[in-house]
Amino acid sequence: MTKKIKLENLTYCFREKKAVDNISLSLHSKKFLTILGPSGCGKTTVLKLIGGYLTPTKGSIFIDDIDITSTSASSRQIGMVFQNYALFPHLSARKNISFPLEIRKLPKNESDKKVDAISEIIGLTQKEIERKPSELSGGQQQRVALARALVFEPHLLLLDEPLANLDKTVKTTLSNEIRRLQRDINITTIMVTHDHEEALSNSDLIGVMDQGKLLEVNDPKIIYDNPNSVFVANYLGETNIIPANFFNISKNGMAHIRPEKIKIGNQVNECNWKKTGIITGFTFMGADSMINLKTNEGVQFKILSRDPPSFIVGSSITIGFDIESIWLIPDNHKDL
Amino acid sequence: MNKKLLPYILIIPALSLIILTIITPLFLMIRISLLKPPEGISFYIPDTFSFQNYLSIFDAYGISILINTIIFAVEVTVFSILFGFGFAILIQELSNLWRIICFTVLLLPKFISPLIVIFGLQRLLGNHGIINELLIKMHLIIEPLDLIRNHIAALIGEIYLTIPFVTLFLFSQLNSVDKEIHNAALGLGASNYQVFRKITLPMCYPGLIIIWQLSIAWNLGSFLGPLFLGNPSNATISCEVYHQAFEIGNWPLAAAWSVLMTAIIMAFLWLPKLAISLMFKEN
Repeated sequence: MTKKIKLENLTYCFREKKAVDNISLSLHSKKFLTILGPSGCGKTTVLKLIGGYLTPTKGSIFIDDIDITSTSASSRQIGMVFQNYALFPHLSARKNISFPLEIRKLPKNESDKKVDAISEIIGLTQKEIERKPSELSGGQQQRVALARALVFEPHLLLLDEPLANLDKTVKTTLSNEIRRLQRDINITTIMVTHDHEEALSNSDLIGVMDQGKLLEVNDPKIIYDNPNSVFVANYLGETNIIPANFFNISKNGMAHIRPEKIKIGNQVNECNWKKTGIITGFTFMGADSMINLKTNEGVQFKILSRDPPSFIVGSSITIGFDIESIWLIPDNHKDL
Repeated sequence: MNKKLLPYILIIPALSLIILTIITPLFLMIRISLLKPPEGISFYIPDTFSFQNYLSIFDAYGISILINTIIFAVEVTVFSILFGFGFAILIQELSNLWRIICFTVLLLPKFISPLIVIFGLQRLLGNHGIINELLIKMHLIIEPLDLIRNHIAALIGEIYLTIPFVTLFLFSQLNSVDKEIHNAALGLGASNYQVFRKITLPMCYPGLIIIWQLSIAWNLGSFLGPLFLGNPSNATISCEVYHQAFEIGNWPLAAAWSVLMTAIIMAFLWLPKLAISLMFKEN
């Protein structure tokens, strides 16, 4: 039932502006892709193109090598969870979930069985699904929307910022559950978010978008440590981007190292690259602390440390790392 | 100033206006309706008390007027909602510019007196009206068609007066249905018709009930359409009130009719509420 999906040169213009600019990618069956990008980058538009709610200006969409570009949304067999959930307010949660089955004219007892099964998997109680959406919490509404998108066994699941409207605690729980669910049901999934932590924790693949363009698609670990552009490096979390020649590497361009890779204190002794600088800022964040440091040459570093000694801003310390852990960003992307 | 008193003070202007223009005349009307009908040239016999007027309403003629009025109001409401909902759905599909143009055309008649609108329709449909003259000039007919002085013409007149409000109201109802909800239903496999039938329409029910109530309340008091475009057998309660009060000069009977009309309107306003509360009791 679950299928692979391929986009070919997908372009969508809105008022002469390219909201989606020539995007190609392919996603294997049962994989989880997260499209990450700032608001207005066109990531939701990509989802709506795949779902069939918008018609691409150019390009094609394939599901299992079948061109569905001109298939209507209602016959695409794609489950989508909208950012505001788009639950039907006049129907109970149960009726919401059974809606796609009702449309497919499934007998009542079969439909009830499926609704009960999916509700259990998703963690909705019998009592909860008899309520109207307005009587449910944000997290529960989200679960109803998920159940509704999955109950008819779609080829593909699309999630548009599924966690954006939720509290931090509910967010983490649901984020984990979405991933568990995706693995249990084995459904090809594309999620859209602007939150890099969500993307890193859930995905088999991460795609980063900016201004309608898909900048990079890669494995989370690779895209985090070895991004191919400054934008991607910055978007996936706090980082240090420093001209490569600062490290005496005979190359132009930018070097990239994540703050947690930089060592301080006793660990510095084992490093083959060291530098001394003055602490300009210190932020306690619970488990970790962020240290801002300025070297004598005036280069700024951010260091994430698990157990920092009590530093005083203005004091001088030495930092270090293995020069091999530096990643040279291959492109010459204009903005830093 | 005492804060608790403030709401009461603020309500005084509106309340006194309502008492002055609605409550007082209503009580006066009830009082007049309980007077004995006039003899000779007076309008009523003062300082009398009698239920005679109410009894004389319920003869064969009175009952036919009563039934006429209710059927007429229901007809106007049903057609106005059907066409108005249709218009609202069509207008919703248009671009912003065309929406503005459509609403301007639709609401234009509302900027002038309904009396003038009805006279306009009379001029359009009458025996020497524009349509008949045109058809005769084109030699399509010899005798003018009877487009006026019948039930349909009366209906057209009142629907024409009701439909702008109905359309405007239902348009705002339709617009309040989120586009994403429509999309969600499509994505789950529903056809456009199924989305309308199972999602959009049920979501408009509350609005439809409200506009039903408003339209019934307006049209139970239909006057201009039946009087100027209908024939005497289309007479409604309002026509009868006018007839009794200003042509015959029997104020007590006219007042009794008015009280009855007010009661019917109130009953119709309560009816849907009653139906809804009964429906919920069943569940």
